Parts: sequence; structure tokens; C-alpha cells
Amino acid sequence: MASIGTVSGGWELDNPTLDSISHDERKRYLVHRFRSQIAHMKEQVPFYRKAYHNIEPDNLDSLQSCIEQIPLIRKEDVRNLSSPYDLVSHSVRNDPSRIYLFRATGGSTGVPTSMFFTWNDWSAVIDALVASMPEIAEIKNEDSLIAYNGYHQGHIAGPSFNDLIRRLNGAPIIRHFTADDEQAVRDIARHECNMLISPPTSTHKGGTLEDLLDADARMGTDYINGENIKCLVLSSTPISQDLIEEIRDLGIPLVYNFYGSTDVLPTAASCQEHPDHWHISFRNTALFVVDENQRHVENGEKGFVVASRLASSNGGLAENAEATQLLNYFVGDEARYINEPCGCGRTTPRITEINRVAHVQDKIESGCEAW
Amino acid sequence: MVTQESLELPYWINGEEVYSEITTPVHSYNGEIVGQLHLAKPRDLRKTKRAIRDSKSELEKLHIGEIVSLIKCAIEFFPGDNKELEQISYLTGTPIQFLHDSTEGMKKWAQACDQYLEQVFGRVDYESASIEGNTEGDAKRLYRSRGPIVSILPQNDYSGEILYILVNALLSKSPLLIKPSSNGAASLPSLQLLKALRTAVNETDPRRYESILKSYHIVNIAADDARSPRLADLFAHGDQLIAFGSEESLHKIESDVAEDGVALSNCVRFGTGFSVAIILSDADLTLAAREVAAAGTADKGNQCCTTSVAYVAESVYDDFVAQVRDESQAIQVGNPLDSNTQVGVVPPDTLEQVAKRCEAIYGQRVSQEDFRERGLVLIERDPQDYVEEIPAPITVIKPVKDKYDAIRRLSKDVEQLKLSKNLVTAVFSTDQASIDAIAHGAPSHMVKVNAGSHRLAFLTEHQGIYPIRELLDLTLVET
Repeated sequence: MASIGTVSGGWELDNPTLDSISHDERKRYLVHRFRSQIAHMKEQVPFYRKAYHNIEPDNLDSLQSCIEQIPLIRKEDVRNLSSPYDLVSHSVRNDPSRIYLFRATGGSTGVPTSMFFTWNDWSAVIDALVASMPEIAEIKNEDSLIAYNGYHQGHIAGPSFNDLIRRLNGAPIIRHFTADDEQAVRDIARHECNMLISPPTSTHKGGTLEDLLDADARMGTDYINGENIKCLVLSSTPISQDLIEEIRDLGIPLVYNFYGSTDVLPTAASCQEHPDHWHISFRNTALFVVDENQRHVENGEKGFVVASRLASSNGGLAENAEATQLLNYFVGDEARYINEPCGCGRTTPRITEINRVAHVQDKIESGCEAW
Repeated sequence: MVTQESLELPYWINGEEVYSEITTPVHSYNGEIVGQLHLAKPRDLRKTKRAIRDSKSELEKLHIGEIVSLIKCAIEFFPGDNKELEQISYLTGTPIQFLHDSTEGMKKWAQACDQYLEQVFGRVDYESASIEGNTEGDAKRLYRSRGPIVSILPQNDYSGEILYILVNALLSKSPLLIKPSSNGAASLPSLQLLKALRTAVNETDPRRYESILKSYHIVNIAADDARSPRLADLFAHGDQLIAFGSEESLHKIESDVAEDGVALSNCVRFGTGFSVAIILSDADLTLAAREVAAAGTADKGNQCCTTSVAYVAESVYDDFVAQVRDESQAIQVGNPLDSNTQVGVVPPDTLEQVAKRCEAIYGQRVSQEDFRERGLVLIERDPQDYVEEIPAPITVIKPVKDKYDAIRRLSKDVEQLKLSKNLVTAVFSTDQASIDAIAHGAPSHMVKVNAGSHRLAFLTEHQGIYPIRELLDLTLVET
């Protein structure tokens, strides 16, 4: 397998082959990133200087040590901070103009948590999204991408997918905040969109792919099918087998399902072989599935999802994450870990059967945020 | 004999049975769980809407003569066989003989569907008909379907309504989505009918009639089950609704659909029947008593043509009541699967509602034992008392002075129920002038003479309409 970077030469975050490297090379990359990131966090963030006082980056000599020795951080820990900037690097905190994007997460119980991104942090997010969609090149070659983004722009999915489309040289068409599902379908047809971006499964609040399909069928517009829509980008909720079959029946060729949260994203993306499994995205982020003792689970086992912001992108090369610092962040989900070969060719392990186990009230109240 | 055989009731999409992982139990008339009704999922509803949209134009190209032949062929394959009738009887408590008779009656009507078209339009080939005698020039009537139909079947439909709707839908070239009641009884004949239609298609020309298979579907939903789609999800904009039921249930269906912003093109409503009998002083009381007893108990009093009220001339009142009681007690009540049973068993959930209603309106309790002992429960009321249609073998008796008083009382009762007309008034008299007076004066869709209100003929209008005409849009073309 090809190497896509070196410790000294930098890792190419936007290189799709990062998903096909050997396990050893991936571990090498991750250990390097963890070491570098911890060193940065201890230097830049007083909170972590204290939290990691007995962790020496050089002593993290394996991926296992990164998983087990770096303490977990939970949403309650973030909420209990005296300032929303307490997790932000000192250099960014002193120069707020470097903050490119801010979004809050949760908030229905207790204080909302604040997540910050510099331009480089954000670029890394977009690099990772783009790199997870290698098959999109087929569609781009035939048609310009015109993507209907059904996400609220206040949600992290709004701007992240807008910028994804721009990076793919496409045009994002943004759902108007007053549009109901029928108006949305009319707008999709009127703008000749060939890509749809939305949560997949209906929660009876409107705005999901299922709701758009319902509206399309109810109105008889018959637009959402493989003749018009070439790609679906989904996120925020699991996708049912029924919906996968329906998408196939409609002849829509590409489906991407992303996993992540406002805190750490994107952490996983589905392949075309299994739209209901997510290949972990070890690029700007890392995701592990751990048991109660913070040990990584074995193949086939269930555990708790912890995620880390590992990198920003400086011209496509991985450097330290710059704004909000998070390692081994307890996302609040449980998932099944699969470490078996996949027909798509990616060597990254997968997660599936994702369930919310914490902050359930947050999820219900705040809508399409984290899983 | 059906006892505890497990009944699996799928739904039907694009000519195939569909089984779902979401099911709800179906109960027998005595409350036992006897099977599962498979519930459709949102994806299924979308599939039917797409199929209907895709097949509509092909359906429109079929010639009416072909459709008539297909219907007649399908009826040959529609079994109404004993096992299926037993299952329906076991689910509903309806006597098996009633099911057999009503199914056979509807099959005969369907076999005569070309005569039905002649009755309505004056010809079988109705779609484009010249208008004779127009002095302005050549003129013709063009008929075409107003759009796909969604039909909500009532709880008491066991084959009659579904066959009626399906034939009208086919003849009007309207695709149809059938939603049987979630008690399961109407699912069985609905499935059998569409299977029969599929067999007819396959036996004749499956390629040519593929649009038929894609135009007629059955979906099961359960409104009180959170896993199930809602009623409004059945509809697309421009659909027609055909619904049977009480005025209250029809109003609820329409408002649920409207609340969801669905724009229907048409509603064809078959609402409260409130059929009655008028027994005048010169009536053949023996005949009248026998017919009223039969009409009050047909299908355990659960049909729109059941006699709900008998207005009886004061001079013959006591005699008539005594004779009806005698006739009623001779009626066999009980095991619906016994072919001699005339009144089956009112299911427990219906009985609960019936008992509450009787107590509230008439101050009288009724129970299963009452129906068992008396066959038909008679409730005597004063002429001005409020009455309503109750889905059980109960007939209210009111004294009247004469035919004009009977018409006045009936009109008042119809008005109190917020109806414009009742379905059937059966008049018992030997005087033609009296019969004519009632026929002209009664606010009724139909007047039966010296026969019970339950003896309906479907070749004529039902509740004042021919459904096929309601389902079609008419354009006059003049040159």
C-alpha cells in the first residue's frame, strides 16, 4: 500500500488513499498526531496542562497508550468550565480574529458548550469530507454539482456541507428557513439540483430525506430519483435498511452517510458497499470504541464512542488542531466496532448500530445535532 | 371450522403480497387473538403513490370493453369460499349465511357491470358520447377520471363495499388505494379480490394489463399504533376519497386529511344510513313484522340499511309490537359460524360503545344476553324523542297518527341527525295513495314498498348517487 506522508514531510489530509494505508502506517500517523497534539495542548491550554500533568508525549509509544492513558473528557466537564474559551489554544484565544467558525452544541440541560474552529481547523474538516467521497469524481466529470443543503445553517452541517460542495466546485442551494418540505422539493426541482444533503430518517419534524421523499410522492413531482439526483449526502440519524433499499430502487447511484458531532467532525463516513456502516475517518480526527475501563473493544463488540480533534490543515498537510482542543472526548454514543475487510477497499475499521446513551434529552430538544 | 388458526394478513403492492416486520394483532369476535395484520411502512406508501402515478396514463388507454371483460373474468376467480367466509365470520361475529348471501349478491352485481354502465350513462362505452338532439351543432360528453382514489373501508365491510368500490374504480379507470379497517375483516376479501384481478390479468394479457396491477393496492395502517403511518400519509394531492361510516367518522377523516394540507380533488361519502320503516294502519302486519325483524337484525344490525326506527300507526301499534317480538324470538342468535344463525355476536368493543350509547340516549342498558334472548331488542319511545343509528340489532318503535305524521316525525329525526336524507324508508301499506304520499314526502334516498329496508339493489343509486359518475370529470364539447 502506498504511503501518503511521513512524520517529517507531513501527512496529506485530503488524500483519499489515507483510507487504504496499512494498519501499521495508520498507527504511526495517529501516535505522531497524538504526541504532537498533547504537547501543543499542554503548552497552550492551562486546563490541559493540569489534566495531562502526568502524561509525557514521548511516553505515548503506541496507539493503545493514546487510547488508555489520555483521560476521557465529557460534556459535563466542558459545561463546568468557567469560560467557553477554556479549551481554546492560547494563541487563538489572544487573537479572536483567527476564529473562523463557532457553533454551540446541546443546551437544553445546563449550559450549551461552545466549539471553535480556525480556518485551518475548518479546512481539515472539509478535506476529510472531500476525501471520503472519491466516487463523486464520476458525477463531477459529467455534470456540475448543484447541491440542495437541507440543513439549518445554524447547525454545523449547514456550513460544513456548503463548503464541501464549494470545494467540489459545485453550488450549494440553501433551504430557506421558512420552506416546508413541499416548497423544498419544488426548490430542488426548480434549481435542477443533482445532489441532496439532509438527515436521512424522519423524526416527524420535517426536513429529512424521508420527509422530502414523502413530499415528492404526495405532490407527484417525481423529482427525487436517479434520473435527477446523483448523490445523497446524509448525516445526523441512522439510515434504515428500508430507506437504503428505496434509494437503490430509485436508482440514485451514490450515498454518503457521515458521522460526527459539532465537537469533533467528521469522524466516520460510509462507503458505497455499506451505507449503514461508517468507516472511521483517521484524518483530522480519531475515533475509538472503548469499554468501561477505557480499553478499545475487540472486533464485533459494542462500546462507547470517544473522539479526538487531531489536526488542522495547512495547505492540505496535517498540523495541530488550533482552536478548541479535545482528545478522547466522550461523544455520548455507543456503537459496534467492526475490524474486518470491506469490499470497498478501505482498510479503516467501521462502526455500526450507533445508539445514544448520554445527553438523550439534549438530542431530543436540539434536533439534528449529535447522534 | 376456524378456531385458533394463525391468520397472517399482508398488504398488497404492485400485484404482490407484502409482509412487514410491523404487525398488530387481530381479534376474533370473542376477543381472542387469531392472527396478525401486517402494517405498511412509509416507504410502502411512497411506492404505491409512484406506481399509481406511473401507471395512470397506461390505465387510461385501456378500452372500457376490455375493463368490463376483465372484471367479469376476475369475478370468476373471486372465491368467497367457505374457509375465507368462516375466517371473516370468526373475526367479526357476522353470521356466515349473511356473508355468503351478501357476497353472492355483490358478485352478481359485478357480473352485470356493463348493465350498470348502461343504467348510468345509457351505454357501456361511456367515455365519449354524442349528445343527440343538440340544435347548436355536434356535441358530446367526455368523461375522464378525476384522479386516483383512496378508499377507507368501514369496520363492518366484509366484501360488499370493497367489491363495489373496486368495480367502480376500474370502470372509471381510477387507480385505487384500499385501506381496510385494522380489525382485519376487510383485509381478507380485499386481498382475495386483488388476487382474483391478478389472475384475470395473467390469464388474459399480462403485458397489456400490467398497469392494472400497478394501479390497485392495499395498505394496512393502524391509527393508534405509533409505528404506523398516519391516515393523511395515504394521500397525494389531487386524490379522491371514498369513505364509508358514520357522519362523525367521515368528518374526522376529512379533517385529519385537511389538517395535513392534502388537497383532495373529490370526496365521495357514504355516511350514516338511518334506515327506517313506516307501518300504516292498513299494512299486512305479519309481513311487516317479519320484514322489520329481519331488517333490524341483518348483519347484527350493523348495516346502513338496517331498520333503526319503526314508525307505527297508533291503531296497529300494540299488535305490531307483539308480532315483531314473536318474529324476533324465532330468530336464531349465537354462533356466527352456524349456517342457521341469523344474528351473530356483537363484538365486545362494539358492544361496549352500544351499551353506553343506549344508556345515554334511551336510559336503557343492553347486553349480549339481551340480543341472545330476544334477537331484536325493541325500544319504545315517544314520537318526539331523539333517536339515532346504533350498530346493533336494536330497533326503536315510535307511534304515529298517520302517514303525514310519520313523514313529519321522520323528517324531524333526520334533521336532528344533521342529515339531508336517510338511506331507506320501507313503507308497509296496501294503499297506493299512502305509498305515493310517503314516496313523495319522505326525506329518503330510497323507498321500499312492502319489503324490509335491508333489501338493497346496487344496480341503482346508493345514497342518491352512482359512484362512477362522482369519480369522473365531465367536459362538454360542442362544435
